[in-house]
Amino acid sequence: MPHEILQHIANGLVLGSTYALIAIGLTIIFGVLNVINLAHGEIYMIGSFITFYLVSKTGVNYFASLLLAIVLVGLIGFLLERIVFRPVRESPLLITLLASIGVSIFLQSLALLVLGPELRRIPTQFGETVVHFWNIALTVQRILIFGISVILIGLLYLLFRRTTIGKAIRATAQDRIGAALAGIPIDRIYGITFALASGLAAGAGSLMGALYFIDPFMGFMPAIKAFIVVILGGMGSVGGAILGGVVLGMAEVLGAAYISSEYKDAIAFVMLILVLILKPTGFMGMEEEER
Amino acid sequence: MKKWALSFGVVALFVMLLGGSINPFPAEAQSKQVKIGVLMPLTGPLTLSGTLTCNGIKLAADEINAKGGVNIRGEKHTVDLVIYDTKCVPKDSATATERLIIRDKVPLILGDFCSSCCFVDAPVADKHKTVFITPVCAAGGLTKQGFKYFFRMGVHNFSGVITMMELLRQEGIKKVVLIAINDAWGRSYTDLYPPALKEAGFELVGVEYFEHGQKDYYTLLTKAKGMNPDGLLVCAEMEDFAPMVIQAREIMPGKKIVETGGSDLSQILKLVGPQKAEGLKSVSRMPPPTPEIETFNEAYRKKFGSEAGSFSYSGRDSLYLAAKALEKAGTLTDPEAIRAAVSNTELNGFIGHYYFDAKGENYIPLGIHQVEGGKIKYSWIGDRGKMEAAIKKLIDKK
Repeated sequence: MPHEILQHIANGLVLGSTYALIAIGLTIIFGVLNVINLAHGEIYMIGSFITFYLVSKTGVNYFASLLLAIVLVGLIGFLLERIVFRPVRESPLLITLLASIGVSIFLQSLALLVLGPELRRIPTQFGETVVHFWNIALTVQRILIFGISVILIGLLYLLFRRTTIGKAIRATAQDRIGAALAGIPIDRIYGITFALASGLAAGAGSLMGALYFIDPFMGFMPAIKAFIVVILGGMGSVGGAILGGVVLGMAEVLGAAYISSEYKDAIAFVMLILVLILKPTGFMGMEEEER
Repeated sequence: MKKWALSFGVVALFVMLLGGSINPFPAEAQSKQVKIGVLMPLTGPLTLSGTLTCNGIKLAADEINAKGGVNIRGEKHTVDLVIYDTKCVPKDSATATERLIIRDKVPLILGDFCSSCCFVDAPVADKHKTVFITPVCAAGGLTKQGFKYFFRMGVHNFSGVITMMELLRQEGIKKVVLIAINDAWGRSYTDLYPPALKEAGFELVGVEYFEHGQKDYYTLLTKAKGMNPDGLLVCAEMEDFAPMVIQAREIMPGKKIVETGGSDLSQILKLVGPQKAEGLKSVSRMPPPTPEIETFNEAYRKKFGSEAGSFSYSGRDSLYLAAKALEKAGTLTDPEAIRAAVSNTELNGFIGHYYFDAKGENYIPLGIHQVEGGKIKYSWIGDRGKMEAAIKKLIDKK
């Protein structure tokens, strides 16, 4: 099947870029707030539902809806940090985990209540056109997913490297107390980080929602995959999340294609175990200094 | 501030719990009730399938109650459904089964949707001597393990396989890739289809699996494309089949796709649109429309704001049979009498004529469902009576 390999590689890159997009949000929340956000999948899901609503009920075009969803969910993320995570900031990790599980269940149930169990898809006029090149078949939507993921990640990079806010976020991630002493408003940084992460997840959800069907539980599996990516890449490392995402995407696709589709998910978990044994801090993680 | 909030929270919780258990307005002597347990996936990757089935049961309960309820030895009992969401997770389903029996004390349970759940629920029901009727589970193994209290109203695997062989022949499909969901139901088909296909002279060029809620089938379909089949034989519920059809049309436009009965094509047509659904065929329990079914559909539309599906009919049939059996038994407290009554009850339901053999098995044959010109067409292959006999023979042989 050598002539199929290009298709598989293309599939792996598309899949990997979505994993990266979701995982980046998760990793910066951990890196900056030290919170393991188990509701990240539901934030992804809410993003797709908002885009669906905007496109199908109010007729806003897809790209504008995508942007609006990112902004709206970013705001929701900001509020979540304020309402749910700030009160438990000084509590043990278990409490924050429980809090995020609570948010996850709440969002899933809310979505089910408001939107029901029917399957829906975000309609796009162009998304289904198939493009053929080099013996690869890809729909426009898949190319868009890859392209927009790259753009969003690029924008995030610029934010982190070139803006003051970005530097403040990085400083907070490195050393919270030092950053506070330097006059950085920690509370606001936390909120902004959560908003950023949520916006990215919403972007991923809106992209995927036009590719697959959306339902209130669609966030569960991507969140698990995102966790694996974060651990593979190193918790708190954005570069690691990108690398981990691509590696996981490619491993899943090539594993399913050339080893076995039955054990495809097992491949991801085996990789996870290997990384935890051989390099527990992940591909690009650094040894944790005592804070 | 924090302490005050905490105390307030604790008091509020206490009041809610207390308030929930005290009824300040005791009703006058209520009419008698018969509690029927229902286990269905109402959240998770099979929400749509489970909800369709459960809604069918709910509507049937309304219909039965509107006509006065279930008549147990001259006393009318209203049907009171006790519904638990099992998410198609076996251990949650088993826990819910126990809860229904021990805490809610139901005399009879309808469910689950997934064969994987039924496999663990049946021994629990047997242990507590409670009749357990599945409206839809198809895995053959369920009635081979000697569960006395387990009854299947779903259509047996074999029925699907026999009908599928005919369908493949009709479609001129010789080389087949089998694509199945990686759970007890899907695997029951990956056990059955390969020898059946070989015996019938077809060539099976590949077997591929996918998981519930996987959503992306590009790799699987690319692999299947490389095997150059005449058609794809898919075992999938509609939540998975719908995206798979869309992606298959992208990777292998025009390739024939047949499905083994886990999906309702009328729902698939709605989900993927007439253009992509065109040409899809499945072996199906879906009956051709009748005035009675249309009345049910109308009532369903009014109550739930969406369209009924074949699973709704299965759900509906299961409650009607349960009600009929309970009336026959004349008791809600004698497990052996209830079991014997169910075993001897027949029903002309929407899906077909139900009757059980000694193992709690039924022999309903399947028809063919296809999308042609944007519409659903129903047809039969061969003689219905002959098919029933063939299914019975296969089931009794194994």
